[in-house]
Amino acid sequence: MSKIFALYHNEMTKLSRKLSVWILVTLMTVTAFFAPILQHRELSEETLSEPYGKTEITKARDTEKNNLGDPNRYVEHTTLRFTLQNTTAELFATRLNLDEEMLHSYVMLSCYNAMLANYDFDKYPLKDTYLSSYAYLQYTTSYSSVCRLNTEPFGKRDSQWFQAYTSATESLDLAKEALFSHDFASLEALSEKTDFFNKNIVHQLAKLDPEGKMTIEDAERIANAILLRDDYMSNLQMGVYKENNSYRPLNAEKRRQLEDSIKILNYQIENNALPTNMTSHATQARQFGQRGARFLLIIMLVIIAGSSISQEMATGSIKSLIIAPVKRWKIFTSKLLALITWTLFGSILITAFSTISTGMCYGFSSLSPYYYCSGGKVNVMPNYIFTFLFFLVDNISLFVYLLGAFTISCLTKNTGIAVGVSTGFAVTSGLSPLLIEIFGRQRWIDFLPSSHMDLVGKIFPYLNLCGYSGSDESGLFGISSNSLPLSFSLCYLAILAFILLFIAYDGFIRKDIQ
Amino acid sequence: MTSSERKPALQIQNVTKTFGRKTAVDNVSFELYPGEVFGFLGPNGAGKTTIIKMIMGFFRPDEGTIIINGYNRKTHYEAAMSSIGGIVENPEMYNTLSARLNLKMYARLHKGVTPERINEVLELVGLSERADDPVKKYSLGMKQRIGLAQAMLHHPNVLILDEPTNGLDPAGIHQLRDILKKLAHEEGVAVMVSSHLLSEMQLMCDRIGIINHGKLLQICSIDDLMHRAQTSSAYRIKTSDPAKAKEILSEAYKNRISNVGSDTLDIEIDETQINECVRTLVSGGSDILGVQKIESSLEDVFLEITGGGIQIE
Repeated sequence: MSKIFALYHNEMTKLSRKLSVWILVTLMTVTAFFAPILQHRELSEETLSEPYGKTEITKARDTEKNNLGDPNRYVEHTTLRFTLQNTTAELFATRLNLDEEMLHSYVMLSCYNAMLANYDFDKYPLKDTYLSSYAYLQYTTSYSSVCRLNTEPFGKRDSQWFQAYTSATESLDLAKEALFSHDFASLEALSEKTDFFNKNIVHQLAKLDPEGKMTIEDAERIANAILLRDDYMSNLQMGVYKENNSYRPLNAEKRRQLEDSIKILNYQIENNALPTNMTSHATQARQFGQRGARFLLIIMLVIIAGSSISQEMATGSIKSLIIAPVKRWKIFTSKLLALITWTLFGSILITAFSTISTGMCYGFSSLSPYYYCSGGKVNVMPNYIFTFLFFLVDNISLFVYLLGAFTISCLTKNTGIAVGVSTGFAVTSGLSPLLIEIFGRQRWIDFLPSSHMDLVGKIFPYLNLCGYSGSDESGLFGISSNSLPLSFSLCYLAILAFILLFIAYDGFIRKDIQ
Repeated sequence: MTSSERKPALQIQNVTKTFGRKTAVDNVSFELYPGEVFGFLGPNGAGKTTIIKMIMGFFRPDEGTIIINGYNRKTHYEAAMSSIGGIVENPEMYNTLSARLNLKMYARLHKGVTPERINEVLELVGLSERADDPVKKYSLGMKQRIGLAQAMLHHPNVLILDEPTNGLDPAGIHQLRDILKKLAHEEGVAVMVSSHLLSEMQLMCDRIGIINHGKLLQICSIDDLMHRAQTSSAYRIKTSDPAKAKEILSEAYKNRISNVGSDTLDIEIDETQINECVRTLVSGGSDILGVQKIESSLEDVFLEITGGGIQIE
């Protein structure tokens, strides 16, 4: 054991004195640290928005007033209703004689006036709550429709017009009720009428937020989760699942995953535990940094593993190992251990730096926990445990890359070939979906190493429910997953690793060293 | 004390190694004793390095046994290899690391090598001042020295050096010779040195094994070899008509006449036969312009043993 440790110590000494290793470590660390920060700046520019309060509305009202010119043209909303009920509506259309632009200003001016007169801005901030902003949007839309219909000359008004007019005024009533009285029943009725918002979603939102104070962001998230859940449910009913934009029949594992996904979504919706925008951004920013740096780590591993044996052979420095009183399997093992140490070291650096910079940008609490089902119950795994497991799983595929380069190095005793072939292998690791696109679903694609390298997506199938992005969303930086069962992928990788180890072992231990 | 009474430090028993169809080493056996410098002599491609590589663990012998300090290398690899040190072909180190660090790393693989010992060997090979420079800045001679330092680092009692004088300047060669002789004769280390230079062997070795085409042709002490060179005598007779002289002598000295030149011929006889030979010539009517003893060199003996015709550099 002491000999292995001494050899390992030597290997670590050698690797830690390589300039190329430190250049890549630096690049990797910089990527892991700064990529989330860059991502954060980009996202924060996107999501900047101002609150919409009484002052802004007053200001907007005055602008529209100026646009309209003659203040006499302005008619209160109540006036409009009055004239309509007394069948003097034609007065409105003909007397005002508005062009398209002025009509718009007129509508907005009327809406703003109504808001300023009737809306409780302190109690219900307009821009931030889904109920108010949705009702407000419906209010302006139906108000505009009523006005537009009113401009129709009296003689041209037929039964179709009348239907449209009735519908528009009904919508206006409902919207008015919803906006000024915060009435969910009106909103639900309006949803059904306009088909703008799924009635189920409004119902669910009303249940979760009886006060109507939920932000648009939260409401949209819940709406999306509900849509996704409904989609999953219909898939389950049809016995299919979606992969690479096509539907495939469900197998037992996929069925369980679909059922569990639905459970997780229900849990998240009911407990207001859906990943927030902040969480998604934080998680994706970190993921972006991790994946970019991971690619550099693979390049580094391939270089040091690929040169591990062959470079020593080429320079002849292997001699000082061979003449030492150590068996060759110990040299082999120590080299492998040193490479594994560097893999772990790289992964820890990446995880630590990307987490620190993400935490600095978004706050450490913004990183999403992982949701999973066990025994039919939804469980929550805290982010720090999940981060650790994610890191461990990710290292399995890194180990396979490393072993590939090491084996080729042992076999060919040529650093160029070892590094070249393994880098090619690493670069094409995301090739399987592309092959499926070109050749269709073929059985042989399932037996390519690239179909099994991304274990993270298989061991953690509910990442997309926790704010992570998949490979289809963000290419190289996403986590891809295919329909091959986890057990198959694990067996495949185990057999592959065993074969690679055997070839490397045979190449180094049994053969003569020239 | 004779060889037979001492326990050999290294035993090579019936070792054979083939590469494809070529037999590089063919049933070679020899022993190396503590306190001697054993020279392994042979032309390029004779199989010297192959045997050394088998001893040092680079190659596995196809047949035969290698025993180091009583340990069979096959069954007790680490015990056998722990007391052997050496240089195989050119000494190669980790070029970007300093000599000191290279030695430190090598020391980790042996028990009981202290930092003081590292300084000691660096001092011994004269590299103390440059010990912290990266090895890639070293000349071939300096690399040879650091290789020697590494080989001696752990006080091995078998030291195997493959062409150790390569790249050394005359002063370096002289120094190396002194170090090796001191190690063998004062510290009792069994030293084996391979070379294709006979002159070098003559000055350094106690015994010599001569190898050619993978076969160990002969093992003898350097004194024996010198003696053979001195005792095997021939004389060159200068005469105006060597053809006639050959004819006269051919009856009495059949098969002992060689190199008939334009005015000389060589004849293998010893001192006691000179008178008789001259008389025969004179009585046969040949003139004699001079008689001169031909000194046989070690190289001649070597060529004779290896079958001649081999270029010795």
